[in-house]
Amino acid sequence: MEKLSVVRFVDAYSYNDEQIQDTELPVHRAFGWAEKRDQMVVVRFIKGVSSEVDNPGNLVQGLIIPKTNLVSESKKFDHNLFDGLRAFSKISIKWSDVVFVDNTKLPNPSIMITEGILEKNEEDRLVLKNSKTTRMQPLPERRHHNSDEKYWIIPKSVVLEVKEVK
Amino acid sequence: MNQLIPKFYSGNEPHNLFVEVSFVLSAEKTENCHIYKCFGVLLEESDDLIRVMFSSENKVLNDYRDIKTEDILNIKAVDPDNIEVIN
Repeated sequence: MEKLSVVRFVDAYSYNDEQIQDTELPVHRAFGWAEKRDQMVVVRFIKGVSSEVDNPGNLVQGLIIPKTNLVSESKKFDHNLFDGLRAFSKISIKWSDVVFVDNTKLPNPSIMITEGILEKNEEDRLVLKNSKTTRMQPLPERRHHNSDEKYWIIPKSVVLEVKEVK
Repeated sequence: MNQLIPKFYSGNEPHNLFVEVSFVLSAEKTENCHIYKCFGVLLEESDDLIRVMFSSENKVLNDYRDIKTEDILNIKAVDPDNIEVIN
């Protein structure tokens, strides 16, 4: 059942300054008709009124938000995943991303991999420097449009897997 | 100006005047054109268009849509008490 909703969530982000800035996770708000599904919330910014357009399998415009991005979930994660990480080591993080949808079939959340130097291991987020970010799913694989930005901040709650790489 | 549109307060800063808007797309304006609805925060209104915000980050505007007033079929304010907050 879709309801008019305000969805509050956190998201990974990047920036390109030379010096590291405040890395707090800002809270985003999305407005629309929201439907909670198993692992995600579908937010429709725009919906069609006629049956040809208003197909539940399609999204005119909106967001796919993994449940792990919701504000209430942003402090819930497996601490064991992050406890052994060494500062300034090179790590690889697999994580789920929010997807902006514009007139396509409903996709699943995107799976991304970010590889870079662990600059900070904060309470609820990892800060990576000199990293590369690639979208692994849906296929085909491709670089994130902000892949080469200097710093990436990734909420721990969206991390699926993390490991050191050589 | 489209007489269906009531005059709302709006300013430059994002505020919480929620609206639901029914509209058509100018490009599709034919006898059988599709009708769309959107929901968001009313950011601006002029004689020519309104701007509806779909997402924001700490008062920073992210996604929005400008809708020509001539394309608007109906617009109504939504009581915040009828909006679910999903955290």
